Amino acid sequence: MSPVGIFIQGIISVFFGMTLLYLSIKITAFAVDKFAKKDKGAGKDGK
Amino acid sequence: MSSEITAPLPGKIVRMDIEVGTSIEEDTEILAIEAMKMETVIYAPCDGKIEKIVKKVGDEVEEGDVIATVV
Amino acid sequence: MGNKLIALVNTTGFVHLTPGMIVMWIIGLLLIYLAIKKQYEPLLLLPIGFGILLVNLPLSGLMEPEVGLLWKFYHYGIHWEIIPPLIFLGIGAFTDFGPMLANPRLIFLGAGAQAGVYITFFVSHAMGYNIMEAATIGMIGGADGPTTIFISSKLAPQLLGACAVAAYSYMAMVPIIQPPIMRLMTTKAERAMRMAKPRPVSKREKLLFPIISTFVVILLIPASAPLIAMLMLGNLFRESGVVERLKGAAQNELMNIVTIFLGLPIGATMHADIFLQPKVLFIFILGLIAFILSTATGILLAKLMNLVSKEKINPLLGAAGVSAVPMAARVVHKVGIEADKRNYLIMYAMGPNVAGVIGTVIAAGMFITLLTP
Repeated sequence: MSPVGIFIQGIISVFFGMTLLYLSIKITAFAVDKFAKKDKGAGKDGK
Repeated sequence: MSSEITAPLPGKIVRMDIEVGTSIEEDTEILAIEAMKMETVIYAPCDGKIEKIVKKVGDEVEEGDVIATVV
Repeated sequence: MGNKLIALVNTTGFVHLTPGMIVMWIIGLLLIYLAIKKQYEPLLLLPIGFGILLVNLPLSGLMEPEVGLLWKFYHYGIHWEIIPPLIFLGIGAFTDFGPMLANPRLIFLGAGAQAGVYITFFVSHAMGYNIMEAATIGMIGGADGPTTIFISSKLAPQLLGACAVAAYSYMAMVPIIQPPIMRLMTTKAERAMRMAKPRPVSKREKLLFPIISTFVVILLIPASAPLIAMLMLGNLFRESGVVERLKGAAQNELMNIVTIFLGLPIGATMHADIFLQPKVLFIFILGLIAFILSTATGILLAKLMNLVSKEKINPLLGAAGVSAVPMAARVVHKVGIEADKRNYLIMYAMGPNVAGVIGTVIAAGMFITLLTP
């Protein structure tokens, strides 16, 4: 593979990976929030 | 009217230059908080006199915790 | 009688000394001096410095394949990829991902700083390093010692010593290297910018994060598995709250033990014949460039995000995207305070800082995927 190819593919995959991570944090936060609310009213702490 | 001095960042109080009754001026150094092994100086938010101190040196504080009140 | 004396003299190391070895002694002693006197990453530079001295003592045979003591440390510890992942276990055990979860947007700054890695890779390759070597050199810009060693042992073992020393010495010099670039690239008003209070992060989220991110990252880039797996296992130890002993062992005892077995053989890879070549010495310049570029691309990305986003980010936080934890975050905090003494950035900066660790691992995994058949 050419250096240019690696350069482009590398940068894209780092950002893609971080985007996936971002989305999974957002989804987890959302799910935990919902779950906690159903569980024990307004309790946000999840303890 | 009294106002509160709150912790602007989480960490441990390592120095306290004020006691009840101390007169402070805005922007003077009043205490230091250690976070991530680094000391950060906290400045007075307003002029006034310390009315009450809630935390002491060595206490762990969260962001937004009240440390003292000023009148 | 005379012959016997000559034979005896020949069994000593003295007659096998070369000028190069003596130069390496000076380098080794310099690292030991920096570690003790200046306390630059002493946990690593001290054993590395001593390892350099040892391997440049002729006839010691310490690095002789199959029999030498340091060769065994190197082979079974680093070449077999055991030590860098174990260090990551310890890093996971003491890293709080909370600041990152509180402000997930800042994750992208951890990715932005990796652009410096790729640019340096490109420059190094254009300068005549082969593609494997160029990838390893670029990795120095990630400011992550274990990852640099990991990728180097896989792609360019001949450069391991130089790359490891460059990575660790520049990590120690983050407080010197970064601030001028940060000041150059931002206005005082930008540096003084205050951040909005982050959202609270629940215990459950912190607990779920290591599990979910393991899935996400390993599914995406399987080659990053050894490092990510250990990092997240360590973090799970921490956040689960039920294995305090394992958490303690991972971040203290085990970490200390593997640090010994990491530093010494790294130093031992730096024999005069291998190390004293223009090609190897030039790595230190390229590594510095990588560091500067990573800082710069992080800041640029923060500015770019400000163009499209309503909630503004203090561009200094971009500089925390290099994964020298927590040095880069501290530097951001200090430069922020210089501009406005009530601007406390440390906890915000920890977000991109720990995200930078993950970003660097992804970048390394990607190189390994693309470059190994």
